[in-house]
Amino acid sequence: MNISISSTHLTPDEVRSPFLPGTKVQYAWDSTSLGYIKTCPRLYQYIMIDGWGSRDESIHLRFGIEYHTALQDYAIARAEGTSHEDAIRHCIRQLHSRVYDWTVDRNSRAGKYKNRETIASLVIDYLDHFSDDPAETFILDDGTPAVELSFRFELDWGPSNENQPAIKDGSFWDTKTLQPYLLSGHLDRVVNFAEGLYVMDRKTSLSTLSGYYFNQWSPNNQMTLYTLAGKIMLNSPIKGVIIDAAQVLLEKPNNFQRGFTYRTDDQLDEWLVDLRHWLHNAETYATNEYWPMNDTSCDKFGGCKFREVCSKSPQVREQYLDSMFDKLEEDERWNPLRSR
Amino acid sequence: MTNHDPLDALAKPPPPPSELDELMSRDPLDLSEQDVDKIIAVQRQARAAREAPAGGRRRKSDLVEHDNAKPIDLAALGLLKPKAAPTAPTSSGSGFRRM
Repeated sequence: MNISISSTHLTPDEVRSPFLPGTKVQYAWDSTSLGYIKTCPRLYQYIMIDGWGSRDESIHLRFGIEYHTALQDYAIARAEGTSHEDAIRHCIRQLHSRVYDWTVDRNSRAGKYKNRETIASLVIDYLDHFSDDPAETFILDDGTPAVELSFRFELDWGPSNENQPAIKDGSFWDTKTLQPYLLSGHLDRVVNFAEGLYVMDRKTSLSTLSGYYFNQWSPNNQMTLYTLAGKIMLNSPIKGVIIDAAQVLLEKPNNFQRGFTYRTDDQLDEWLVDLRHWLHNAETYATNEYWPMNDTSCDKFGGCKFREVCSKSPQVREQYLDSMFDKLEEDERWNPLRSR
Repeated sequence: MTNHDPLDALAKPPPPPSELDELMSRDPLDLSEQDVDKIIAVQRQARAAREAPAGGRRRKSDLVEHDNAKPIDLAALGLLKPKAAPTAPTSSGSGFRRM
């Protein structure tokens, strides 16, 4: 593996575009944007290039962020020696201060299941369920718990020379000034479990946590990247990822299940070889400004949200996009360089 | 003569705010430590209610005579106070699944 770490802890001030200046060539990638381009280039275009988003999507995103932040607050308090009950009080107070004015349309399915009451319920239920968690948070060398770790690596290759800004400007350059590809993301937690180190990734879902649900994580782009990231950041033999899934329920108690997904070194190497091909394709689409539709992906994951748009004739698609989605401002769009 | 819009009769009134809803929407500066404890307690009570067996919803015809040879199950009757926190998950009950 030819990878170097450029930074692990990033500040919001450093947020910049993931695209090479003056181009649509993305050089900074995370599992989300990689997932889009792998699933369907047109899906990638609508979200990453054009910035189409939906209101329901923001509810899911907000809910996930609040869930992660609350559990992070709890983990930090516990690592500082606070008792379980006091740590819950602390994280619920913090959560309350962030969501007390969060209003959602509770007539929508997303708003019915994901709102300020259900987030409080889910956090309390989770922390009580795992009050004596067999998975222990890994403590970093500086004494801080390994929770919500932002990572960023440089790969040893980048977009082709003709797309590199220094060359386009005609200014002086050498190979050291070329922008390599970056891989970035966030690890929710690194844990010690049964004498092995794992990345733990938290998921909230409205779906049943069955074998079918857990099978989706192997093979899986995000979990392979996170295993790779864990190995590089901790310089330790990370075995894989524990999927820490929470099913949000209203009439029944919230359901919590965990599943393992493992990755060997050979699998990580293979993923990196494949990545080179994927990024080359992504650059070609961007250079040509055409992102083809993969019409075999439309029914995946319960159906693509752009399916109705793509099913229309090309000349009316923009109208459908405009009526069904919101065009997000640049700073609201998904950006792999944005730290949590 | 009334001024009621006929459509008002069709509109479904919003449900009354729950206790948790009221607490969660309160200004953080007005939220006392007791209120935080209340949020946690209300949620735990709600969870206990969801976890409780559906015995309380049985119709009369479902009632059976108690066998005096068996001890009375207070939990089933809803007479046990729910624990503040559940017991630690056992290895078999921790919800781990190998893929």
